[in-house]
Amino acid sequence: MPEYMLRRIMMLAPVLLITSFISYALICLCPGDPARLVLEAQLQGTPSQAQVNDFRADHGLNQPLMVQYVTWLKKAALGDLGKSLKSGDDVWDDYRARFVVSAKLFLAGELIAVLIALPLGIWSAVKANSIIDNILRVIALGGVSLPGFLFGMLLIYVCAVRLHLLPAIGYGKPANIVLPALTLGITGSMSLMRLTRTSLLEVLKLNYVRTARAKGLRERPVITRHVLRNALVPVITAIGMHFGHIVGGMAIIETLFAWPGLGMLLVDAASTRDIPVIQSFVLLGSAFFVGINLLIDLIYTLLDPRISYRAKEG
Amino acid sequence: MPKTVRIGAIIIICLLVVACLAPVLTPVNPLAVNMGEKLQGLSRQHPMGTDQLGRDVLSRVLYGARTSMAASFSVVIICLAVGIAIGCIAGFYGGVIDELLMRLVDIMMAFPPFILPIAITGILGPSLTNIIIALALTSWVGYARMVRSSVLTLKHLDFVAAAKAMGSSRSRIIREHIVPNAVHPLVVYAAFNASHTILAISGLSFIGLGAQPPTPEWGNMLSEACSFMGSSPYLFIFPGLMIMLTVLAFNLLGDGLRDYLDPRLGTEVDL
Amino acid sequence: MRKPLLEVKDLQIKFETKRGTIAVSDGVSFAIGENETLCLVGESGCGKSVVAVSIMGLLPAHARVAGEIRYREADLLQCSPGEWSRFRGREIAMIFEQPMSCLNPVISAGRQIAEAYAANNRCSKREALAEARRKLDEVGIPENCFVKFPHELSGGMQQRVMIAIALACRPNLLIADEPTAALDVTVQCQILELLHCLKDRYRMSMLLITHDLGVVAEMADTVGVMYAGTMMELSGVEDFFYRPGHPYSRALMNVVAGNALSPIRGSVPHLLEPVPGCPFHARCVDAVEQCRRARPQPRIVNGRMERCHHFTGDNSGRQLDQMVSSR
Repeated sequence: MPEYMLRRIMMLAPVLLITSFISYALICLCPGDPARLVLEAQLQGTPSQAQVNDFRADHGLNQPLMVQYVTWLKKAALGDLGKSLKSGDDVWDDYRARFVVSAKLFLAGELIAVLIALPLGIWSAVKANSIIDNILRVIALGGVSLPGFLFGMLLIYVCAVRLHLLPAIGYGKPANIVLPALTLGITGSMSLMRLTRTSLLEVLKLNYVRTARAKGLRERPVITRHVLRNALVPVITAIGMHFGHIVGGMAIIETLFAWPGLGMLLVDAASTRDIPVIQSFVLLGSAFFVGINLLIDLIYTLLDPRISYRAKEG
Repeated sequence: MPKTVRIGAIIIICLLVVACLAPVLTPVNPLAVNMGEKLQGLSRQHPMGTDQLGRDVLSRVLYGARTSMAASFSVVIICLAVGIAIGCIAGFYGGVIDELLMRLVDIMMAFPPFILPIAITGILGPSLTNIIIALALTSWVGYARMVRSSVLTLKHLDFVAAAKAMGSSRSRIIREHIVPNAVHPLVVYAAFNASHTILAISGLSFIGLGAQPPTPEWGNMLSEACSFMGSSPYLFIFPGLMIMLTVLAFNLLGDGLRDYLDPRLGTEVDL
Repeated sequence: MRKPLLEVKDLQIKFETKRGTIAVSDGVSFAIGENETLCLVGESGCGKSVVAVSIMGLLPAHARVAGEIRYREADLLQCSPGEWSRFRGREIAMIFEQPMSCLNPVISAGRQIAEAYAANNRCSKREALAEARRKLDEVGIPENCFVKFPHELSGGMQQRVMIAIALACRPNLLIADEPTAALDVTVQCQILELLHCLKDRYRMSMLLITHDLGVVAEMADTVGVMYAGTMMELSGVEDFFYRPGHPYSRALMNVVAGNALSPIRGSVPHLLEPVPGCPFHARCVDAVEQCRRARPQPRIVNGRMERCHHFTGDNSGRQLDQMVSSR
């Protein structure tokens, strides 16, 4: 297995290199001269040609794209991601601080999602086609069609505006996390519940489950020992992929609840065309996501002995 | 055909009709500001009330269908075209071309969800068109992957070999054999992609990166409604319901079609 | 006659599907005595496996079962799911075809055997593992395979693991559903020999499903011939081979006798569209008008059962003619 993981890690280097290039090259999408656009936004008016030239020289925008990219990547490797054009803050410091803020919200939400989705999904599959199963399926179908921010607004309306139970938006007090976490958890649990159910039903059809029953095992150990371990592999993958939401995937919910995490940072940067922040954001986000995917693969090899075996052969 | 497919299709057709006939269905201009009638509740004249600028919510909701449907259909159609083209090229020609295209697909998948569309609209500048471009740039990947794998399986089937033996040209084989046989999974995928796109467009508009005011767009309307939630909850309820209904319709369609088109009979126990 | 160990009476199994109800087993009856082996033969798709799985109570949820499955004193069809599971493994065990798909891919071979033992015996984990090691030895698997996963074993080894699982609790009845179908010819012989030997050692009864008449000749005491969900003939092994009564049995025998040029013409009728009359009439060389109209009822003469309008109980003469004319 170590060889397999080593090979996997080696294959990451080119992927990371190209994603970093794409992150930097996003600047090419800029309609018109980036220097002029940024200055226009900063000065709230038309910049003089001299100002534009200075800005270009300062930020190395006169050089060819490849040179700019290599300079940027070298600095980034040393932890210097530049400064925000808007606030002048160091991007890397900002990113780290906000990562923690987003991670808190994500973990709270995901915990709620898993606590709802797994028991209900398993119940639904074990009692397939019963009344309970049908009710849960209808709820889940409605749930996956309900956008998170709409559900968040409903929660704010009911819990904060009408009942005055909880603060609607903000960050800092423990009570602030309740509504955004519930929003993420409940809306996120719906697709997870569907996945758990279908995955379990897939495995329940397999021959080795019949063998387990033929041994004389009762239904409960059949489910816990033989069905769950295999059926939860796709569910664990999905949960792992959800971790990618920490680095910006919760942008809409964070903006709704004024939760100052990475998503909100990204949205702020996007609405003010803060190019250095956007670039570093994409770079760090993809690096994090690639790491998460590697971790999922590692968990896979632990859950399923066949994987490293196949890799060894092929 | 399962009931879910029919219900989903009927809702989508209704929405398309509403989108096309919005000017006929509501004579009120969705952009007409009338400060004298602002934030009025539901009335006979304004069945869904008026917003903070006195605009008629009903006509904004109906015109919103136009925006959402047009935007999401554009994304799906662009992605379908690009995905089919790239998937066919990769799957059919194979070799170095396939390798290169699939690495590109892998790389696009190395970006976490939502970041790339937001970053791209950030740099292009927030607008509905740019959102469509950003979403198209990031979601063709799934189509390409799927088409490639269908092509790879179909390539080895007998009827393709027979067509080859009969001297059909490559482009003809692609057109007559491979495209129709790869269509089923693609339709299901497109339905789900449409529902995701609608969620994404309304979400991005909600945070101010998509359709800009005063364009009537559901996500946009929701974000404006935030400030008046206490006094005028109807401002977010109606556009919210419309988003949900639309997304639900596409999900029903996708779910139903998947079950209907899936040829597996559902039991491994051989009889 | 002593009371049989397992008695199946007029078993009717239907599957409710989206496209209608399929009768996969229609009025199947047989009995297996202590220490006896019954072989079920027939072409694929005739419902043999379904009958076997129904005895274990493991049919999918959309199956409807009627009739009687009596094991010793208990009527299994009247049992609750919990009661039925007490018979599985301990009294009746089953091995399946395609052992690869029947073993859990993520649990080691040894643990899967130990689990079968632990499921039906009060014992510690260590005892179960020790018992599993003994069983492994008994079915001829080297010690080092204990910790291996199913995909690391050959097909023959996998089937040996299945046999070890089935025998973990010393069942009285072993159901083997084409245990050698997916294996190499040499391995097939080894597995059959192993089954034969273990059957004697454990004094088990066996229900063996196969389409290999060579296997039948070697193992069977009684032979049941199934066709399109119906039991066509049920007779002692000697009667079956030397005086086959039913035209379908004779046709099967012809195929095996090396007449590769005379396979049974036509194919098994589709179960969704039941045919009137005798299910075999469309392919039967002896079919007369009566066969097309009326479904033959089982007739029992001299301890053998047949469903055929021609059956009188004395087939010896006709059989000889048949043999001569076919050679």
